[in-house]
Amino acid sequence: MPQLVPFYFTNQIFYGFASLSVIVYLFSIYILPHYLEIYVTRIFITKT
Amino acid sequence: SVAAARSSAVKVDWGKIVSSLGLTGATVSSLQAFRKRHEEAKKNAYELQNQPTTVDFAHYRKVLKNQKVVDEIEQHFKSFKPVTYDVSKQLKTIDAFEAKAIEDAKATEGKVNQEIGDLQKTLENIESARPFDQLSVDDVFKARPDLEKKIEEMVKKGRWSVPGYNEKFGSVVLM
Repeated sequence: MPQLVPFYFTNQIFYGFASLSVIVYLFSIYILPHYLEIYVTRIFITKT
Repeated sequence: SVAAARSSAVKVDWGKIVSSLGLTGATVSSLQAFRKRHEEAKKNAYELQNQPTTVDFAHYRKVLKNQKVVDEIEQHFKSFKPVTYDVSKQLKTIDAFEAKAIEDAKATEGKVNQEIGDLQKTLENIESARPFDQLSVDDVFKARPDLEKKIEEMVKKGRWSVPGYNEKFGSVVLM
């Protein structure tokens, strides 16, 4: 199991943080606002 | 000008006014009231014109013993002068009123036409509108640009949920 081999720890931490930041960025800029738009418009165009 | 006014007043076709302009409600009733007033004034004028304005004093001198009374009344009759009214001021007022009324009517017509245009546009909008379940987010934003700003604000504040949404549309949260 390479993730338990200390030689790969630095690599894992680096790419772990890198992909996490990319995911956070994409969600906060594109995906979550898109769903928020859908929710708000749904609430807006319905009455009861 | 009185004769001209009378002849023009005679020409008014009251039935045609109501039918051709498509008047309804208060306008018709006030027009009818005015017509009634007009008819009454015409009748009054006609009756007054047909009343006798001469007195046969010779006949009364023959019939009555008291000649002095007859003389006195005749003198009064001859010295009577009908009061004359200066109606030019009233006519001027009427003219001014008419001009104002026409102006108002034209303004109203313009307003009504504009309203009709607006209503026509609204009607077209309604007829060409898609049902709600086919609306897209962009359509709603086009109609209400302020929503977009509101959403931006919410994103900035990190508010990702809409209060009341789950109650209305059901929660999609699994855990």
